[in-house]
Amino acid sequence: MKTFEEKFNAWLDGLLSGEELKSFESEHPSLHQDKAEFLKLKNLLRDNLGSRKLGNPDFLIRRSWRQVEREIARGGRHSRLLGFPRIALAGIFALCVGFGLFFSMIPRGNLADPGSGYVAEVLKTKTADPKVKATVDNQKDMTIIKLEGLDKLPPDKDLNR
Amino acid sequence: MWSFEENAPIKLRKGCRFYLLAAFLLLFGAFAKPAIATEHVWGCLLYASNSPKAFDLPPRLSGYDVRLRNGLGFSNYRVIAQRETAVGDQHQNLLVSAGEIQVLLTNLSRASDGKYLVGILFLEGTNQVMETQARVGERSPLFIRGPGWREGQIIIVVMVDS
Repeated sequence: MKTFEEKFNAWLDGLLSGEELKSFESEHPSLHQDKAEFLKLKNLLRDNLGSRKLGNPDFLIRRSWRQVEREIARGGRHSRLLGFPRIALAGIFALCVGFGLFFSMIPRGNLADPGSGYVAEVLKTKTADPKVKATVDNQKDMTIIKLEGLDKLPPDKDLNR
Repeated sequence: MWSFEENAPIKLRKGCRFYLLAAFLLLFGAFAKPAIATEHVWGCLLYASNSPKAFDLPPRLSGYDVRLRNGLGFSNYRVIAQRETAVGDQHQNLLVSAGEIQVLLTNLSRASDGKYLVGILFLEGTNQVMETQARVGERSPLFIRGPGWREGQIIIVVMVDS
């Protein structure tokens, strides 16, 4: 069974006929006014919103093609740099960054031995008192400047201040 | 004639280049050493003795106990004072002091090989006892056997930290 909307649309489009048309019009006599307004609007739209012929219909297509060609040319030119494909350069750069991070961030050497990489080289020592003598004792992984001839500090001197 | 469709990709590409450049600068900036780097120098005064009471060495000197025993002849080391100094552009930096003993850093510069040239001045009160220039590596302590005190000896330790 058809709904009201289906019958109404069919009636507007002139598709109802016979008994069906008679019964619909007798049930809804007020719809004639609506149909007249609908037809008026339909004619108005058909007269004013018809397809319009463009003066230069290929303009947009040509412009789009030009843009695509420019993009292709630009992409082709930039895909290589210094004769290498960009992807290869990016790989080399990533490797360099990786090695840089490795050598700068990860400590090397024997971490178990605190003396590994030990460097302490005394270049010059000078004592103000000629009685005081400074000698440098370079041992393995330890350098000591030994001051001899210094007066002993008084035992009651508080060094914890 | 300007059109948004034509200019937008160019603007986007320029924007991408800018962000790429900024990312590179950030990446390399993170690893670059600052022009005026602040180095940290640790100074320590140890009391070395053969006392039977055992003390622990400061953590920075862990692993040096045997070497200290062999090199200085003392079995026990006690921290009297220690201090870490961020070395700025001052002429002299006090590294560590205890009583009248003062250890000053007179200069610090980094050589091209990554080692440091340090100038150390050891004072007792206002009297200069010794001045030294040394080339040291990072975390390589330099030991100075100082004056005797009680049954032992005062040991000065200077170490450049990163």
